[in-house]
Amino acid sequence: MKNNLENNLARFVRILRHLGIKVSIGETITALNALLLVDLLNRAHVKAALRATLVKNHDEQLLFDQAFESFFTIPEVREQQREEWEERKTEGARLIEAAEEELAYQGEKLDLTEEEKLLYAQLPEAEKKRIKEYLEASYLPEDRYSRFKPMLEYQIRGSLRYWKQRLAEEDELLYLLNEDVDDEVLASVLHQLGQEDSNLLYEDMKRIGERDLPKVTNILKKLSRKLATKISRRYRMSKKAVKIDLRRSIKSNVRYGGIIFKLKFKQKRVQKPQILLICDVSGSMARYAAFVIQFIYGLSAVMKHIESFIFAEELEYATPFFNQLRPLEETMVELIGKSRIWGKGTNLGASLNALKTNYPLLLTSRTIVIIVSDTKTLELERAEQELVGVKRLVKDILWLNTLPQDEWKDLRSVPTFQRHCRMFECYTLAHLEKVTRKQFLH
Amino acid sequence: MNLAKLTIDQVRSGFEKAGYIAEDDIIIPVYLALRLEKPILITGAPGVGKTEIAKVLAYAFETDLIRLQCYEGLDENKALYEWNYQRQLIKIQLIKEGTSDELIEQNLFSRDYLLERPLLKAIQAPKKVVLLIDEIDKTDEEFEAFLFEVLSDFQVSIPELGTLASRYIPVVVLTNNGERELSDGLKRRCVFLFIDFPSIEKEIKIIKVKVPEIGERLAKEVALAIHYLRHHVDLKKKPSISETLDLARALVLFGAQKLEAQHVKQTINLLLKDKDDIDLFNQQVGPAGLIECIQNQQDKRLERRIFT
Repeated sequence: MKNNLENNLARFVRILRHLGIKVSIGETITALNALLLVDLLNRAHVKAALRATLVKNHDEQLLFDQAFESFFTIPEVREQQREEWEERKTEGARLIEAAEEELAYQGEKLDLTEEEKLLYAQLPEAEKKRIKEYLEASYLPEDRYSRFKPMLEYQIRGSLRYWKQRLAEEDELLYLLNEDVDDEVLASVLHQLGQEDSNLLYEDMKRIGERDLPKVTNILKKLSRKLATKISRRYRMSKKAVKIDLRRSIKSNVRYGGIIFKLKFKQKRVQKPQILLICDVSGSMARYAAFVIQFIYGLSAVMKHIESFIFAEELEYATPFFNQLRPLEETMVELIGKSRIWGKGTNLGASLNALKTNYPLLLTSRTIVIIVSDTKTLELERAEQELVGVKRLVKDILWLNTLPQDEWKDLRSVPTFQRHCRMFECYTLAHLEKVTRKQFLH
Repeated sequence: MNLAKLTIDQVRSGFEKAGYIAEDDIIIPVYLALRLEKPILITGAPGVGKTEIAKVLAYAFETDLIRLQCYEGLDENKALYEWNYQRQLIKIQLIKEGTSDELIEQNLFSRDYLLERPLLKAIQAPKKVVLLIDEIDKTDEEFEAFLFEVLSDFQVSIPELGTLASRYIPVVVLTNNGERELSDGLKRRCVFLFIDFPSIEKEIKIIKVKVPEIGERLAKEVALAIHYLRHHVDLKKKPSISETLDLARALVLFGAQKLEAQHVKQTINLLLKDKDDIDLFNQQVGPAGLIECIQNQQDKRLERRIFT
């Protein structure tokens, strides 16, 4: 029994870690000790014990609840989950095999990963046909074949990458490889969790429907309030690395007859940073537009002196739209209606240049620039140069990237910009919450 | 207070004895913190009863409550110990003549001249006490790191006196309003408890326990009204349990039997403490609207009970 308990706990902790909850070994041991103190047959007690010892953040507790329900389920349901998972695995293997047959060049299999083959199997029939025809048309004599094959594979990979993103956006990827998970119970639970309606916090913001917008607004308001509280607070400086304030020291020690017992130190006045938001509203970011507007709206509602810009091909000053304390819907309609750049192509370089030229007073050593964008832009080199230029003028640049981190490696623009700013993955509210927490509230 | 044999039922009855309505979601983490001798970190909106838990524990286990109220700029001197400078000065002047310097120094840095602040008091207590570290998020990171060390070993080194270790590990309750993210290190060492606003049923129970003079109908309507305000009006500061109880007491004073629009109008300042919130309430709902909403909620609840 004890072995089973330890084993199950370790597996459950692994699920939590897969879901992004940080659980240390120390906490796992505490959880095990806690389990020994409660009635193991009482599900509510077990849940409360694990929740209190493994998860230390309220938002993560919601994720924990889902994981707990999926993992600690009755054996029949567990068996059913496992069977479903097995079926999917078999089907996945069959699809990979079929893809291997089809993706051959002159009878030899192409060097593609399992994931790529699985992705190919899920492409629309027309696209599969196009790839097959392309392979057939690329016939080369034997002597040039070995040199040409890697190039062909590279092209197919590029096409598959494009389709991966597109199918994921349309929620049409049914089979995904999860190579990290070798345990079938874990795999089935993780799959189950992926199938469930996720919490709004963990939902990709572009998929959040209009129905949930009021809830999102509330979450963003809460976040913005926290941010505003932190920024308006002045923590007293410690005694380290500050100068003695002689005048205050003498004054406060008069009561000891002039003998200086207590030293007073000069306190550095903590200046509030000036936040400057630059949000990408180009075509590729269009699906995040609602979130972008709400983010600015939420922040503007609780923080004074926040400057906001939107950009696509050009830069537009958006602060006045958010300063009028109107309902979100009105602000959104007016902003989209009046903007000339909404949904167009992206030129970050030109936009940053316009910012430097037209609004130089906003770029000071107190300014923290927050860029919300997927990094896809025209004139990458120019954009990099302009970013370096802005970096020199301001305190810090934070980049909230709406692309999932595992796609960053596929884009040249990501490492280019990453060299000059701090970039964070930010496509769910949970990401935004985490960035806010770690960068501003810590 | 022997915690080694403590049971969940004992904790539950302790809470009941102190008049704190709590279910297993609160009882279990508190029980675990006591049994595992770990600090309990309680978070939740202001006024949901975080601080009250420390008071309840002190009451239930018949021990002392030592409170450290955190605020911006709190440092070790105010939290741990300080030398009594004034007393030391007087002593120096009194024995200025005729005593060797070494003896003066020994005397001056003895226990007599030590001012114990809450943390040292809790460590040095002759019995197990409850140490409440209230609103930990109001301090800065440095103090948090210092606290973290004290809470790990429950011992303090005073250069002039040596190391003072605790004889009884205190029950530590930390409360957090979530204004600042606490360090992972501190969180890792604590048992975590999040207290949410109570359900309607639980709030009715709380009202009845804390304001026994209130009638059944009025208690229910107050709970429904508060629930509506919390969940349907986008307030900056949602009314907490303490505000619910203020409203209930005020209504009892008015001799009300049921909640009416004029009562809401007269007591809205007890519930909403921000001018913007009051304006928003009057604009979106209004006293008469709130009564109507309660009625609708009651009808729906009744319907649900009949059909399920």
